[in-house]
Amino acid sequence: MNSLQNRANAVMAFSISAIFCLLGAIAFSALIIPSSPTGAVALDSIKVVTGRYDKNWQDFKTRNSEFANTIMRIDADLSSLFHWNTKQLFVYAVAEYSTPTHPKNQIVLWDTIIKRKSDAVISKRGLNNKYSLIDVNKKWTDVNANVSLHWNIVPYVGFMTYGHSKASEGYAFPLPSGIQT
Amino acid sequence: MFEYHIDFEGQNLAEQLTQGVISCFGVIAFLVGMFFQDIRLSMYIFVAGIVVAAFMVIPAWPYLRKNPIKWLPSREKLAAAAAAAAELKQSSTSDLKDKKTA
Repeated sequence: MNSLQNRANAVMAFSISAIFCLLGAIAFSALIIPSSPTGAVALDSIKVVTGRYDKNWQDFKTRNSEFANTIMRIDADLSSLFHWNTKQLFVYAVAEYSTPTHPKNQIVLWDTIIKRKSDAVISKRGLNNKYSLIDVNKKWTDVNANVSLHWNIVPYVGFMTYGHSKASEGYAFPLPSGIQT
Repeated sequence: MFEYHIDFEGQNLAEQLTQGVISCFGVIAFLVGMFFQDIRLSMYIFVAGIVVAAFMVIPAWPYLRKNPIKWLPSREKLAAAAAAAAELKQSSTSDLKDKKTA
């Protein structure tokens, strides 16, 4: 602390230690801030059509793969998840089902990024699924899927935390009707 | 022109001031940020703490130079002083002798 440079160095070095402690405290405080998010997803209709799995895929000549097209209804109030360490929320609707060959399947139907607390109340009607709903076995016969809303809190500093709403009732997939264009 | 160095007491004080000011502002930053739920405010308060600490401690303010080190005089100076004293003593005794003879 004798010379000017020495004192400047001491101030900067200690401030780095201190800001590490401050950010650590912020990171842990985010874990204990209570929140009460609510969310629900419902499927208004499910339609199964056949189509090509992918134009670059091996079965590009056939239209045997079954795609499910859904119309969703999403209601959620996630504003309580916005605390001082929330940078943004990643919100996604997930369909979960089991088949004889694969006991646990999860497919993301729709997602969005919420950056402001004022945008955290979601009320959407008539949403189509953003991503193809296709099973590994390419068939939707005898499948019962439930849907739920999941969210991921992206913090400024600290831990990524996840949560999800209660799963909806099971929806049975109908037989294929029509060809996907 | 500019004095950059501070004394030992000042160094101790500067160290304690640095740590105290930055720690206090850190605690205040956490509490205020928690209260207003605003991490940006928290960071601004912390940076203000760094600026205050730097302003208080980095320049060699007079309050950090209150106890300057008292060095012993150099050996040459000591020898010169001793010689001067001896000469003075001799001259004073010779003066005395002069007075007596007179």
